[in-house]
Amino acid sequence: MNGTIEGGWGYVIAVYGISWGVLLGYAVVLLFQSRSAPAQADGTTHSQPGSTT
Amino acid sequence: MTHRSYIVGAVLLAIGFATMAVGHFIGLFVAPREAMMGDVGRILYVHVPTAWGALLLYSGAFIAAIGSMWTGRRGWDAATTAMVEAGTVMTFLLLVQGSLWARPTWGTYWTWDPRLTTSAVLAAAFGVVLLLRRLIDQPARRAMATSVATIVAFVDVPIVYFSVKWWNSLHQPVSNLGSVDSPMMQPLLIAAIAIMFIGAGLSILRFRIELARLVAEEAAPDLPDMPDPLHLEGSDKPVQAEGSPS
Amino acid sequence: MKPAIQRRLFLLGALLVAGGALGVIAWGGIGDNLVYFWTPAQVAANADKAVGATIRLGGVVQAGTVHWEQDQQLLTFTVGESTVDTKTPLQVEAKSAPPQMFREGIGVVVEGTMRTDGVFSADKVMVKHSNEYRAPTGEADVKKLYATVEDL
Repeated sequence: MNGTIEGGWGYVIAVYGISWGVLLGYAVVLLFQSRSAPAQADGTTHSQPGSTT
Repeated sequence: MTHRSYIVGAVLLAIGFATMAVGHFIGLFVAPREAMMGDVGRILYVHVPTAWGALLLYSGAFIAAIGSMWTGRRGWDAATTAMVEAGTVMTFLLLVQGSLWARPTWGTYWTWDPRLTTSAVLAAAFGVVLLLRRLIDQPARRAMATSVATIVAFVDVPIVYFSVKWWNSLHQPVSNLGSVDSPMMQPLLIAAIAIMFIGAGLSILRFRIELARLVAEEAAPDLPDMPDPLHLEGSDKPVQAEGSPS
Repeated sequence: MKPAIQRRLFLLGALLVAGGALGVIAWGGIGDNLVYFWTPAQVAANADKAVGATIRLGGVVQAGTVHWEQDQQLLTFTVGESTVDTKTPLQVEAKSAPPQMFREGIGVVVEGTMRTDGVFSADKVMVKHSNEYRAPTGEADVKKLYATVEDL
């Protein structure tokens, strides 16, 4: 109760860890999925019947 | 044979994450601790950029939704979806970050403060947009529903921004050049620029996936009894339109 | 109706609804009903309503009024409209340890209810931080506090 926060690195590490983890994880998933996605120009010829949404 | 937009997206992400690493390194290890919050104050350098990123992505989605309804082209539909999803990822991050920052500073993980409440509404509203999209099979109708829902959900974006001005709030007001000391402003700005790149990269890649899905779907509709969406548009109108016998 | 025209009419409708909703919230006074906390003056002016109801009180901790009884876990302090409030300062009693940032002169929001004896009984004490982020070199007293933290 002296007006400043002592310690607290745990919260900092948690916030940065979660933020980097989620952003990087999402980026990797998108990089993977969009690589296998057909290029937009000739996409119509690469249709996958019954592709899951 | 990789398409150019894939490379652009990947490069934007690489630049964004590298820049963010620099900004966060300065923020965590070089910048001074905050006078009252101590080291916990360092959460500033990830929390505020995340908020800006989310609000910008939703603003982009709002514009794309207008484009989608104006032109009816699936590219705008895919762009709307991409930015809504990326923005919602950041909004959920924002809520978690804020909660973990609030505990040591305010003394609670959560309170129904106007800024917090409107931010939670933001995540929920755009979450509904994404859910709605999964529930509708007919492409033209789905594009319409996505756009309308995005435009309506976007109303909350300025409300989140101004919530700390309009109402009594526990959350701190909007930070500005005068209210953040310069050694702390530098990593904040670097991280903010970084998240613009990351947001752009995520949007482009997600756009590619969505557009490919829409193209594939049109070539081979999932549902066998579904007529060609291009012709369906005129005859099978949404509820509010008058049904004309033709 | 052509699909394109229909789509654009829907667009117009959606924009009107969105703009109207925002206008009502921003300028229509709906916001006046969304009250996160009352100030001490507002509590004083509505003393009859405040008693017994769960409300939040927001204000500034008055200098020289903070007492913390470790044994009883009892925190008492006075909350005012501003740093020095001579008109409607309000006595607060809380049965919990205050957050680390709690101190004289800081903004707080407390959750609880007014008792009939005019004391605000709080279940939860929350500390408000300003939008100012300062390096700990500006004020002398802050520097001193910083030094004590460093020594730990």
